[in-house]
Amino acid sequence: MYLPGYYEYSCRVKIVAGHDALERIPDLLSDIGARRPMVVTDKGVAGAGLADIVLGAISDHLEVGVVADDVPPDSDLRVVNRLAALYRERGCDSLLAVGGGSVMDTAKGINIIVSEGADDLMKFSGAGALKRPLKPLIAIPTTAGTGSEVTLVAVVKDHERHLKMAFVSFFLLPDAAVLDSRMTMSLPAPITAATGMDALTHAVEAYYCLSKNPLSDVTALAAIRLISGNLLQVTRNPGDREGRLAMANAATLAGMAFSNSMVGMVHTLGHATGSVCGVPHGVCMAILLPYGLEYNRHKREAVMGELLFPIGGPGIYGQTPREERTPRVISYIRQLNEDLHTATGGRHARFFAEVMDREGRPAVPRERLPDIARAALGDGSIFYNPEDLDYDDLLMVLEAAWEGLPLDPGRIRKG
Amino acid sequence: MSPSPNSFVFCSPAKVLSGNKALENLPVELAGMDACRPLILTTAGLASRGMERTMAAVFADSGLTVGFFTGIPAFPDRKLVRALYGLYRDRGHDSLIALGAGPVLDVAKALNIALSGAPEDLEAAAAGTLANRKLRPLTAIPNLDVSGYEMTRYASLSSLSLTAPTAVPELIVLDPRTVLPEARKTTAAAALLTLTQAVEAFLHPGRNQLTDAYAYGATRYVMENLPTALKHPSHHSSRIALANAAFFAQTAFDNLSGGMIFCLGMAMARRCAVSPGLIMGLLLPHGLLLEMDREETPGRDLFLAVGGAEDYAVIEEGMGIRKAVDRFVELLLELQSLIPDFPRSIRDIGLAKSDLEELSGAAGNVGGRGSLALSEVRYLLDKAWETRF
Repeated sequence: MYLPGYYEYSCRVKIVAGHDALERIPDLLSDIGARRPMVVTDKGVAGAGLADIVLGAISDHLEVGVVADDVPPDSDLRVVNRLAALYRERGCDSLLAVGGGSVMDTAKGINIIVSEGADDLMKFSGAGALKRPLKPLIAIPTTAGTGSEVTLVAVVKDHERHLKMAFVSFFLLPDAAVLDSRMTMSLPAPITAATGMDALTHAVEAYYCLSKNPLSDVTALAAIRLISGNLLQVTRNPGDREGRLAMANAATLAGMAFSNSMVGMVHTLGHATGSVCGVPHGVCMAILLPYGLEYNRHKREAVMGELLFPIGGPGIYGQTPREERTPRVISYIRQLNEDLHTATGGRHARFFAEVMDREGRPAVPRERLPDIARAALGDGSIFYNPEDLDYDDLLMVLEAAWEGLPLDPGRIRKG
Repeated sequence: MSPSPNSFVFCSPAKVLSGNKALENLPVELAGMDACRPLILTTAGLASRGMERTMAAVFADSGLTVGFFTGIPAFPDRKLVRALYGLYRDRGHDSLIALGAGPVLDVAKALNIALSGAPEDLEAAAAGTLANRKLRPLTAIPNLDVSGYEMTRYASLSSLSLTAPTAVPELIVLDPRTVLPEARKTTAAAALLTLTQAVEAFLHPGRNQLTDAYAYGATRYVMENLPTALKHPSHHSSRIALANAAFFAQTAFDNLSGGMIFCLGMAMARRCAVSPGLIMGLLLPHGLLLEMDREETPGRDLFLAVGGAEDYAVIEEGMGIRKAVDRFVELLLELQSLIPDFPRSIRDIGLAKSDLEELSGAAGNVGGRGSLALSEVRYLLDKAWETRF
C-alpha cells in the first residue's frame, strides 16, 4: 500500500450513521455540554418536511432555541450576521445544520461570529485565523454528495462588496455528522444521480491525484465500493432505505478522502462550468469524471487500474489484464452515466450539450466553452492534477465533454 | 432483524503528521491548538538516545517554551502523576507531549485527566463516571515499541485502568527521527500486536466501513513492511509504515473493543514475562481457524487485507480464512528465521499446561463476540499448546 514521504490527515468529526441516527442528537449535544441548539436550514429542506423530522426526533429531549429556515441557496454575509444575532437573542448554545453546502457554510459562519464574539466575519477569513474551538456544531446532510459535513472550509459571500470569503480551519469541522436515511429518502432521482456522481468524483480524484495518502486511499476505496453497489439501485428505487444510508455513508467517506488529499482537473473544470453557466456541481462532476481519467491516464495508469477492484468487483478485477484495467474503469463510469440517464428518464445528463436550465434551454452553449476554459485556469485545484493543463488542453477536454466523445489520445499532452 | 451494516458510530479525533520532517510542523500545530508551553514527557532511555536534543532543536526558534521530564519508569504509579501535576502547575505548562510508547502515554493521559480537575479524578475516570470533559492538548510521538493503547482512550497506572474518550491524543507525530529502529524482537512483537488488533477488528460484530478501512490499512502495512523493517532497520519508510499501522489498528480497536486473541494475549503476558504481541502472533492462526466454521465470518474481506487485491481476486469462495492463516504461518516462520529466540509455541513462554484452564476462564467473556463459549477458548489454547510453528 502506498505511503507518501510525508502526509497529514485529520477528520475529527464523529460519524453517527443509521436509520434512527437523528435520535442520538440530544446525547451527542449533551456529551459536548450543549442543550439549546439553533437549527439552521433552508426553505427547500423545511418544505420537504425534513426539518420537522429532525425536530420530531429531538424535541422530547431538549429545547430548540430557534429554527432559522431561510438560508439562501448561495451563502450570504447578511444572512450570517442576522442569524448570528438571532442565535444570541434566543440564548442558543450550539448549532444544528440541516441541509446542503450553503446551510453548512452559513452555520459555520454563524459559529465564528457567536464563538469569537466578533462583529466582522472578514477578520477571520483565510487559513489559521481561528485559534480555539468554536461552539458545538452538528451537521445533518440532506444530500449524499458534497461531503461538506466533514470539511474544514466555509465559503460566505459578501454580495454587497462582491467578495467571496473563504474560511479554513480545523475548528470549522463539525463536532459530529449525523447521517440518517430519512434525510435523503425524498431526493428526486436526477439529484440522487448527480450528487452520487459528485461523491464518486471526490473519491476517484482523491485516489489518483497527487496528494493521496493511506487514509484518503482507504476511505476513497470504501466510498467507491459503496457507490458502485448502490447508486444505480437507489436512483431506480428511491425508497431503498439501506441503499440511501449506504450512499450517505459513501458521500461522507469520499468527503474524508478528498478533504485530506485534494482533487484535480475534474473539479477545476467543474468549478469553472458552475460559475460561468450555473450548472449544478454534481452534474458537472458526472460529465467530466471520465475525462479526468482519460487525460491523466499515462501518468497514473497503475493507480487508476486499482480502481477496477472496488468498481467492478474482485472477479472482474482478477480476470482483467493490468493494461486493460484503466480503460475498463473509464468505460464502467461512462456506462454508469448511461444507466443513470435511463433510470432518470433522460434527466441525468451524459454530456454538456444535454444539460438544460430551468427554462429548458441549453445551459452550456458551445460558444461559452472558451470562457469556461479561461475561468478554469484560475482555479487552485489545477495544481494537484497529475498532468499539466493550459488553455488549449482545457478547451479540448471541454469540447469533447460537450459532445460526449472520448478524448483523442493523440491530442493529450504528455509532459 | 439483523442490524443494518450501514449503521454505526465512528470517531478518530486525532490529526496525524507522518513522515520526513514531521516534527518540524509541531510548533505550528501546537500554536494552532493555543498551546505555547508544552511539557514533554519521556523516559531516561529515550533521552539517552538523543531524543531530548532532537526535541529541543525542533522548538529552538519556535518562540514556544518547552519543559522536559525524562523520568517515566516502566511501571508508573499514581504518586508520579501527583508529582507531575505539581510540576506542570508550578512551571505554568499548558499542554502535554508524550514522547515514547506504553507507560509514557499512560502517564500523559492520566496526568491530563488529573489536570482537568484534581488528581482524585483518576478514580472517577477508572470508574468510567468521568464526563466528556475537555482536556489539554495532548500530542503523542510514539515509537515502534507500542502497547496497543497509546492512541486510544485507555490508560493504565499500576492497578488502575482508565477510560476517557477525550484522552485520545489530539495530535500524532510519526517521524523517522523518533520512530527509531528497535531490537528485532521488540519490533516484531509490537507489529504482531498491531496485526492482531486489525484482524480482530475485521471479525468484530460491530465492524463498520470505517473500522474496516483502518484495519485494512494496518494489515496491509504490517504484511508488506514487517520483514523489511527487521532486515533493514535503517529503512525509514518501513518503520514509518509500521508506526502508521499501529495508529490505524488502534483507531479501529478504540472504536470497537478487544477481540478474544488480544485479550488472551494480554492475560497470558501478565503471567509470564513475554511481550503480549509474541503470544498473540502464536494464537492468531488458531483463532482464525476457529472462525472458519462460522457462517458470518467475513473471510474474504480479511484476506483482501492480508493478501492484497491481486491475490484476493483469484481465491476461491470460502477460502479466505484458510489463505489468511497460511500467510500468517509463513510470516511466523520468516520471523523465526530472522530472530533466533523467537518463540515457536506457547510452550516456550514459561506457562504450565495447568495454567490454561484458568486462562480460558479469564478470557471467556471478553472479546467482540461476547458470548464466546468457554469451551472454544479452551480448545484454542489446547491447539496452540500442541502446535510448534
